[in-house]
Amino acid sequence: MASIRLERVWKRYGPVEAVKALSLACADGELLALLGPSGCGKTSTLKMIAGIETVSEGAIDFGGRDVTALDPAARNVAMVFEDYALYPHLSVADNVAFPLAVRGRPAAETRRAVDDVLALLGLTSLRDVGVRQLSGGAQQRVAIGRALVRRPEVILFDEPLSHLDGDHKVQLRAEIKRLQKETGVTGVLVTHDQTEAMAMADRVAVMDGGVLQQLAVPQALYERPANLFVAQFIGEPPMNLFGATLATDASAALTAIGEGWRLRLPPSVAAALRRPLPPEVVVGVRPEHLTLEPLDGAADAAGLVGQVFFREPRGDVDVVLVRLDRPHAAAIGPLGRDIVTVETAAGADWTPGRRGAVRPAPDHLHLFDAADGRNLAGEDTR
Amino acid sequence: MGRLELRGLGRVFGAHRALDNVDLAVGPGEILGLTGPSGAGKSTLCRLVAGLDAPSAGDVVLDGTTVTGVPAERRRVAFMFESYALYPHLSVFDNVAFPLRAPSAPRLAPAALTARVHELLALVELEALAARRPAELSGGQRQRVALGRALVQSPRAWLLDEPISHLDAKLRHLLRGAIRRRLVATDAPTIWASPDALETLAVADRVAVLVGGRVQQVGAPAEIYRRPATVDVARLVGDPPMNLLPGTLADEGGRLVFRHPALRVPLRFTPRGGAGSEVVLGLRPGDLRLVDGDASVRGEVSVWEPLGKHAILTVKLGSDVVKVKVTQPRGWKPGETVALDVSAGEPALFDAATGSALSPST
Repeated sequence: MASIRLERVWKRYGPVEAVKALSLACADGELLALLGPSGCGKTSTLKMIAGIETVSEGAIDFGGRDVTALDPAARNVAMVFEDYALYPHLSVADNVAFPLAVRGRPAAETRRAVDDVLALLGLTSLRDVGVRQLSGGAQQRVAIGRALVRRPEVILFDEPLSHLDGDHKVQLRAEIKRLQKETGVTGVLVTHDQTEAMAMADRVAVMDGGVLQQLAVPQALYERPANLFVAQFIGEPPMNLFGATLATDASAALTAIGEGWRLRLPPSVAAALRRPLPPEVVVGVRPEHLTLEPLDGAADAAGLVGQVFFREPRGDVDVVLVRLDRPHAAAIGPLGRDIVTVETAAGADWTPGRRGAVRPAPDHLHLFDAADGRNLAGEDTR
Repeated sequence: MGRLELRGLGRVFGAHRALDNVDLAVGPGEILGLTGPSGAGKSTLCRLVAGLDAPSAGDVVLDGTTVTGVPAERRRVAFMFESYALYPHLSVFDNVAFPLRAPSAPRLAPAALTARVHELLALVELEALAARRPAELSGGQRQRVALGRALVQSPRAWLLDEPISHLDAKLRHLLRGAIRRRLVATDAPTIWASPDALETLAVADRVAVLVGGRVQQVGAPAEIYRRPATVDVARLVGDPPMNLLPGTLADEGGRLVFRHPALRVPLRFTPRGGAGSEVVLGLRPGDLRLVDGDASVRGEVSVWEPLGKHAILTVKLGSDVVKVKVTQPRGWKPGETVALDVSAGEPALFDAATGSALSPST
């Protein structure tokens, strides 16, 4: 087992800079996720850790050993791919045994190692079954078994769940986390799916445009996103964003003022902001921290007021999209326009066309500098 | 006008029954969600309705007329493929305009055609990319071109096969609303297929669940979520889906109780079969509560998955596991013991042999 450390790593493909000055460390026994949209540099990073892509600049070490120039074979790294890459004509046991068999290990030792891994994965009863007969989830477990059997220092998971259906995905994601913790192997997971990254990893590195945006435990990404990119990338449905300016009101309380609305910041939120305060800010509120109140008859037209555009029932909650009356009220809105997303109790009567007032929970506001997008409460480095 | 019916529709590939005796009807302006795991027959069904494939049994009926033998180009069904099938040499604008310029399409004045295409490009948020070629677009952008090309038409029926599966979360939410408004403003019926059951719940008026080529349940979204007709439906719906625990029913002093080695749950109704029946109990992850102190149900945490607004705990109950949705901000370690309250919510009950929901006996 080993820790992994990247020191100012660059990857260039001709003029394209896929990874820019990436520094991060993954502790021994940790599962670290590399998360971001396509083209963010996460897969290039994984390939450099595996040794199947060269490092353009910078260094990678495993447990203090510089591996930057080493072949993949000399790194003792195992990989799990999204399409499983099993030998279709072999049984479960023979697939798992394969890495040991090609290295010419004694049969008895191989058998013992395979038995251990199959037991760990709950695949003992399927050992002689051909892998073609297995479901996608079971095939991926076999692929993980094949990766574990030769006791690698590091396991790299490249989108391991993306070929699986909903329920299988949910089951396997917990299974991979359990296995990684039980074996104590250091793991790096590449995914574009925030739920997978949050659910499985100890810490998540969010990347965009080849640049690390934030590296933190899942809860910190959600509770204190470092910048507007992370704020919009983490959370489903995404965070609502409102353009505003900051002012101090008559009672010296800090107030955010937007197009047709104003919101006094509670002391707990105001005290956490880095000074000096910028003139223009973006106020972020997650959909579950907004409430929607019916506007009956001649109610006030001030505040975040609008008309229901769409209601999505999701079983345990409903997601309601509200189009605001004042088009600029949410200029940087969650959808880049005047629509606000609110999570309400399931079955509430929010049919399209109904009017309502959107009210944020003041204790759950996020404030960002409109100029550079950074969170004004600073970075959470948990 | 505007009615699509599938009557006893079946499709056999060799020994494989891909679609088995499917009866469905979609009314004017109605959106029928079609969900099921991969291989359930969703795309096979769409291809039969579009006329790209011929059924082994049954009929497709549009507005009261059987169209089973009518070739695809004469059915006037707008079909959006999951594979997009864009024309690589045409711009985004020309791809979307293509169906309007087809020889069979009603003639449109150039200005009207341009206006119509721009309206659709605005709907799928592609106005800025109108001049690009498909090769210059991301996967999600290509999917939106295909969507625009389907929605620009005025068909007798719409078939959308995973229309927004490759879009990011932000756009998915916006487009669900925008597409739905466009579809229901017409008279034509829609089938919206997706393996994501929650997506079909969000957009459809009714949802049909297909498993192994057979329709397991058709109903309003809330009904599918609250009262799944079979174990297979229960397994597909919810985030995460319902926990399913095998057990038996026992009579405890005149009251029926579900018994599992790790828990017992008194029933609020008397199902068919009664005491001694082998059953499966369905418990929603959000209905399980962690409680302090002694509770009759105790389990061991095997995995903690923090997802931001809530977390999912995988808890071992004897030889089974359940997923629990928790909102407490704390973390849990594998091996920790937790106590569960299983009395909240409305558990589902299924016959272990058939997988069908057990309803109160009358």
